[in-house]
Amino acid sequence: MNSYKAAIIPTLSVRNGAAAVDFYKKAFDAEELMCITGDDGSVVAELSIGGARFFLADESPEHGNFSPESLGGICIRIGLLVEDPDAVAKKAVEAGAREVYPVADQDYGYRLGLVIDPFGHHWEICKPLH
Amino acid sequence: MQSKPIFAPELTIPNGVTDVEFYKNAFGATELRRFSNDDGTIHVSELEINGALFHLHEITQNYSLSPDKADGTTVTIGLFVEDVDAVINQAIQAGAKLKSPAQDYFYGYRQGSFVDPFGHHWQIQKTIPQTNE
Repeated sequence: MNSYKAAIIPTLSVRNGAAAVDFYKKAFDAEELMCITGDDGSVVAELSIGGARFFLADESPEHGNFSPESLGGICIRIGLLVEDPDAVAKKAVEAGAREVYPVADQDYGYRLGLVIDPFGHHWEICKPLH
Repeated sequence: MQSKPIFAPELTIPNGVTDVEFYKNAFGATELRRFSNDDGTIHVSELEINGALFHLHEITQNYSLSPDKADGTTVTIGLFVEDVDAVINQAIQAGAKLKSPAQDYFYGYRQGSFVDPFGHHWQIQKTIPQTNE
């Protein structure tokens, strides 16, 4: 049984979930905890980035789950708090994410940078400054 | 400071919002910080649900979308809690729309989901023993 009090585990909707699993493994050193592939090749996967778990699923518009490509934008940005945001963002960019702005100390108390992954999700890679 | 990575999603809200009491009423969330615009509307609100951090951020760039306009979302917020039914009931009373009632699933979760007043999709869940179905 997990000991969390309240934990947030996002589910990211994408097109081409199988490719997204590969990308997140490379970009964030994500570990694949579970992956179910449907008859049509669609994927539901559970991944962990150093213990931060998330799900990844091919979009299902009938349930209101759209990829950023389908909507032409995102409704939620993914904030990922890590020990070394510079290293995490660098690796994500090397794997194919696009840097919007580099990791730097921000006046609102975070060291933070923003990248957009090849599937259209926006990641704020950050850590609190104190 | 945390040593392990954690997710702290940032939920888009429309411009001009002043009232985010829903998150306090629904989840017992605590507002840690708020950055307001000159007219008093919310730019960013930093909230915490029993240790789980998230932010509300008004639309500032053309790629951030309000999910109530999109009639769907790109990210569903999964929230693990002790009492799934109680959290869902409280959220519905606070103004959320039920999407899927709480029930036990064979893969070892009790889950239910709702859409909050800003159109964000929440899946409320806890782990339970798996059954062989």
